[in-house]
Amino acid sequence: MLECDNLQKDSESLNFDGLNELFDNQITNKISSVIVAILILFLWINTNDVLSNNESVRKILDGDTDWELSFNESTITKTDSAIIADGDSEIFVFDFQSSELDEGYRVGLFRIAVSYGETSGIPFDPADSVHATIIQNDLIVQWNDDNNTLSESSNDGSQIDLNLLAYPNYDGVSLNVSGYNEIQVLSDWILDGHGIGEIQIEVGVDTASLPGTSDNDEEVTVTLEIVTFKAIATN
Amino acid sequence: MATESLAPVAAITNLILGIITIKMSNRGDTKNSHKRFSALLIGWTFIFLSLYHTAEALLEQYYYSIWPSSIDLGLYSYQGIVGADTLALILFGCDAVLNIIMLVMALHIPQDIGRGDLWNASIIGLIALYCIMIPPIIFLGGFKIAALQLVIWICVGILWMHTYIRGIILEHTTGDEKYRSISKSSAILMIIWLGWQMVWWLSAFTFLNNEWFVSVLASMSENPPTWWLVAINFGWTIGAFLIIVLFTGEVFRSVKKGMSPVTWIVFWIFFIGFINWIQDTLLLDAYYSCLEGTCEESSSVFELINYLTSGVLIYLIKPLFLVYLMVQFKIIETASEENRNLMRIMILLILLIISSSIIELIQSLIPIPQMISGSILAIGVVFFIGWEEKITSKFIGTGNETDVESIKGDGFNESMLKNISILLSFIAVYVIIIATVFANAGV
Repeated sequence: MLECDNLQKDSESLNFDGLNELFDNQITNKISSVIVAILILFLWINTNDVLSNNESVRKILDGDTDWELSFNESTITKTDSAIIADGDSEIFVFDFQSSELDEGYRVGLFRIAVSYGETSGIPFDPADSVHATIIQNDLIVQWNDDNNTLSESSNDGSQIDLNLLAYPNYDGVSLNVSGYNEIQVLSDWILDGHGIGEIQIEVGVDTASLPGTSDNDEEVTVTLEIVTFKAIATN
Repeated sequence: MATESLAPVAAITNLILGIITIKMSNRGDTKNSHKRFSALLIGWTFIFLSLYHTAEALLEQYYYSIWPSSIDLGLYSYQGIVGADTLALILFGCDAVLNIIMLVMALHIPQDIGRGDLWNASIIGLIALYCIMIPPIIFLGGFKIAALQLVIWICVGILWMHTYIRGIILEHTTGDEKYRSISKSSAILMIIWLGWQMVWWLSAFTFLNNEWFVSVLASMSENPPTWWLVAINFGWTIGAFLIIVLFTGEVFRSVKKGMSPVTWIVFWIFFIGFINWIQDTLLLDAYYSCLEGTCEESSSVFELINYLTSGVLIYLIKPLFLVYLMVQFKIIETASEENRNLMRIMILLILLIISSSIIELIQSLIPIPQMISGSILAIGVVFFIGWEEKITSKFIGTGNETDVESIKGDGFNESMLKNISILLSFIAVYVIIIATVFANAGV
């Protein structure tokens, strides 16, 4: 009987009963239609994602690797003063922690201003001699940078300016760099730890006084400017 | 945790299975020609898989490794080495043949959607035309054209998915077991052909596959065409959708009817999706490193994961499930006396593949000495030989009536069946010849 059926069907040239049977259930058809619709939608979204990835990759590979690196700066100031006796010295300690930094900022450099005036009140009393030194400790900074001024003195009442580079190669000036992506370009400028800790400045005083007068000490003010920066890369 | 390539094992296994299946397709008492045609399709699938894995193994042995995705996506360029190019072109040729066989299989199993002489002749014509035209087009027009064949995956996936859903729903509404057979065979066919794409389902839905693809894009010296970028999505997208449909269907059925072995397999593939997603997430940096000129080497742990997931699905599960399909749904006549010896060889071969693969997997994870693993395999072999009669009978008896009846269709006449074998034999030779010619010509 089965063979007869087969022979009968064989004689037909084209018959899509099987296809009709496949789509004879309405619930199945609806579910399949929804899935196919979602599939097409997903393919479209996925394709856009791949095209976008490809565009980014081509930008990198086809030579668009020029970036301008600029720095947003922000300065934090700390001040301390002390009266230092003749022939004596005082160590000013400033503690700086990363929690004091704004989001995304790093310490670029330290600027220290040591100021004093003749405070004896005696007419024609000459200015005292003051010398200031940044004490080298375990603070992570560029101790050996050529542009550092770690020690300076003054004997005419003028302000002493010291500076210390904290972040490698930082000078606040925009740069043109090449790189494949933003992360790579910024990678040298997002290192943590530089300039975080205690900075110590030793200030010594040698008073100068007129004969017969007494000038035994001097008031010295130390102002610490912490220059912080955030690097911005623009393609 | 070194892993050996499974390609040589797959090549030999598929070759033996192919010869046995084609031989068995011509035997049997009932001579149901639709099943004979289905068996021929499966038999020739084995043969082309064997040719594919042989070329792959030789390429790996003498030149370099090539991952199947590279062939599917057309990620190849002529190397100027005749031997390597010939083998790679054979891979592309076999891939094209396997794609069209998959499409034809989807049109016939489990639901024979068209009938009649004209339809059958058209199918044979389609196979011939596709296999003769497509490989040279790919060789001449650029390998990326191969990726357009992924449209076939979408069509086949949708067809089997619909058949599966219909089976699940009709089983639920009518209570008829024959619909489970339909959904089961559809599920198995989906896993056989597209299972290795399913394991990336979570990465596909979270677009992590696209991030992986950045490493591929970064290796291209020229901007790839947009149509190719559209096509490359098809594989992993259809894989992701199919496993979600299978998972949902099996969960639904488990609640209503209870679990079955197919349910466990689907759950296993679904679970692998999570592992592969974690792997993709951890490897993101390695993918991006390719943009900087040098790709970071991925860890051997990740290579092992790939080997245990998509590797096993490509090389071992495919022949294993095809044999299961043939035995369970009686596509080949297992009961007849003349087929019994061939069935024995087939079943013992499958059992040995399973045992040696499991041992290889254990050895990949725990570095046990080869003396021990060899002994374990020998014990397995002795066991299989000792219980061969019982095991064979168990396998032969597995196909229940509804499963057997679920794959049905109209008859192919004898000459058509003969022509299919002649045609596919010719195509196998044709693929090797044109691959050699084009590689030598250095197109």
